[in-house]
Amino acid sequence: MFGKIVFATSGAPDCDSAARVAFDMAGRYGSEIIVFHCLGILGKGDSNLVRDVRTGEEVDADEEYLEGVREELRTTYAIQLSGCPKARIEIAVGNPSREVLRVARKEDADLVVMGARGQGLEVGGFYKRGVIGGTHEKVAKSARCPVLTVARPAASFWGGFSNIVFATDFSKASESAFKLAETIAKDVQGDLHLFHCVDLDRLQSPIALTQEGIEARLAEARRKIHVAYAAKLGDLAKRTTIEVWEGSPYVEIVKFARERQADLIVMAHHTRELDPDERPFGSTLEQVLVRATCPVISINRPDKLPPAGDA
Amino acid sequence: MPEGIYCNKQPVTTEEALKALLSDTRGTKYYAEMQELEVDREKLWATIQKTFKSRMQTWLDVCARCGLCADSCFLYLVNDRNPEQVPSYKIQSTLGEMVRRKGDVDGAFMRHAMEVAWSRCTCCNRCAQFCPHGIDIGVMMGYTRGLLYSQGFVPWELKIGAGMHRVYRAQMDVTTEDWVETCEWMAEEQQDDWPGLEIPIDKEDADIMYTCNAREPKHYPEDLAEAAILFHIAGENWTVPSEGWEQTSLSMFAGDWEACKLQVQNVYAAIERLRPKRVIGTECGHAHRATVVEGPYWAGRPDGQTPAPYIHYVQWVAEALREGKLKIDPAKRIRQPVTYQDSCNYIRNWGLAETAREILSYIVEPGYLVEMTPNKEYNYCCGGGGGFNGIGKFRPMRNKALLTKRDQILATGAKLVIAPCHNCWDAIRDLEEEYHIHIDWSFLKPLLLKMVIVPEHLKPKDEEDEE
Repeated sequence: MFGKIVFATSGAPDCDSAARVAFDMAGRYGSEIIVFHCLGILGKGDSNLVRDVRTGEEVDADEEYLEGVREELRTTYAIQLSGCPKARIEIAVGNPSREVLRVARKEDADLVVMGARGQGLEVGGFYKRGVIGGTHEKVAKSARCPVLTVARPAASFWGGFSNIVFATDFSKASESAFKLAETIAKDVQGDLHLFHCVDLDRLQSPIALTQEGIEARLAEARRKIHVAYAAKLGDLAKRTTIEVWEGSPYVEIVKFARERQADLIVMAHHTRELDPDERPFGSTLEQVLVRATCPVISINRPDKLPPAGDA
Repeated sequence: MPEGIYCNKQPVTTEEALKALLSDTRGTKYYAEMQELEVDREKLWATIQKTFKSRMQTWLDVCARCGLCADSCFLYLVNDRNPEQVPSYKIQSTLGEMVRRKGDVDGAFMRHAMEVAWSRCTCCNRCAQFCPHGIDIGVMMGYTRGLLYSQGFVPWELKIGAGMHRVYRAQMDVTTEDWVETCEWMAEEQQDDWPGLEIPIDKEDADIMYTCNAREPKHYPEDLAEAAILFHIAGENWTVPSEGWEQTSLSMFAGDWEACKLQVQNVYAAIERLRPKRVIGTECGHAHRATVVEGPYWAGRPDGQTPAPYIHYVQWVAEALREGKLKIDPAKRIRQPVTYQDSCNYIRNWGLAETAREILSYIVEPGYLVEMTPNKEYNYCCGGGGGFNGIGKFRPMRNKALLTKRDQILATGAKLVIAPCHNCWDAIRDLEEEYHIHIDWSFLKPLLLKMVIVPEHLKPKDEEDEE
């Protein structure tokens, strides 16, 4: 399903959970996997010097050092690499988000897997965890292929996808996310849970905020899910549920996924505003992926959707 | 040993030679070889006779060593008023000696002169404003660099930089294919947010041809995307050339005159091929100096002009704001103490101080702009100009030089420094990394994009707003 996976890693233990998922998927789907590592100095796109992830020292990024880094990655992922015949290591110097996007484009990747998020992770001051505008935010927004993120170790212990939550805001980008969720659900013969949250924070008028007003919106959203998604599912509809809740979307999505014991959340990134002043806590997606107990896969565009499987 | 493998009098002209030089980490072998590099005295004197003309001869002769230039030089001030940092001393002890001795100088002299030319002068030209005779030591130091380069005494990074221009016609290894691909990539990346946005390549007879700095496509391609978005919003009919898009010139910093000429000829050929009404360069100071101010002379253009009118990015921004092509949302103007870094090359040396202020009047809420002291054409160099930023060997000196700018910024109390020049931007970034004064710094493009009013017809229409 995912012929070519780019696994973007800091090489540090904070990416172990993502590594587990990335290599597992590569094994499961017989994918080619590119272990990608970006070096550099925070905030500096071009530099002869890079910060060594281990020591925090600035070092010359000459061929000898870069080969050392490749060797380090080969050692770190030795066991996983030995199980993947089609694996290779690529490294680059620059800003991580830009270089991940560059390699994903160059390789025409079908999936990007990322980690290094979650517990206030900072590796050598480079893979800095920003609340907003971080590496993930930029990659998820601009990548043409799905981006799978594993933020918490708890999210990586799974036996394959079988219980998939698709969270929608009815945007155009969500249509691509829906197609991806549908394809995966069919492919793994799993259950699909279609979910929407009426965002109470966006309702300002007193009329809209009455219980009647909220319930009317819930009913309307259910109808929309039926029309826009459920009606198109064919046989899969038998394994599909629909739910609409109200509240703050990221909280409700995480709660819903927990309740359904989801092992994958699929949603669109869909954020136009990257201005930290306007979104101090990041986009819904960012909030979901740092909190979710399962991997989160996001997609914005139809370009690189995996072909519908054997369904 | 007359000529080394890495350090020699030959310019780098092939990709293989570039790679070989790059593989010598920090130029360790290169500088070791330089210790043995001999001066071709006859050639040096011949070069001087051919190129050292009456203007510079007069300057050297009339310089009274009065020392009025001393206090104008930030490197003199920041280095505890060391007399060896007095501009007149710096030029008399290097170029002056070479001329007076008719080129009869040795390797030790040249190595010392190299250190003076690249670590004690950023060619900011500030001292010329204070000389009673109007002597421009920055210009002479630039010339001295040329003499040093011709003899192989040039910092490793700049030998590479000049070689990049010779091999790629860009300061970095960005090929035509890389460049075109990056333009397509950026247009594609923006297509959802900006339907209809294009980065038109090689469009003939456009109103604007845009040129940039190779590090934009190489490392910061979003800068190119931002330029495209702003042209898109302003409704400009613009293009980029597939060849001749690189406006900068590390060869100018290196003193590689031949590479300087090759580089600007490439840009001018693009102008002649595409016939734009005018050309707009990116937010870079030295690129403007190289391609707009000095370039026509390097290329031997008789009128001293570029083939089409060629303006700096701040000139286009000021015009777009003035004419209403870009409209600023007043609610989104900058409302925190902010200052402006006047770049030597397009403010002091090209007179755009008021143009920059005009932009600020649109994007900064009145009362929040705090000027540096001194400012405008009297502003000090960022501390990293003239190639200083990029030379590893002189990094400690550069870091000390940054103290001037640090203290100027601290004195304003500004939290944001607007720096529409790659060199200044880098220097301010580095001074934050070095001295942690908790400031932000920015080019104009990202700031403008945060506050510009997007016309309704340019907004994406496919979204269904649920509320």
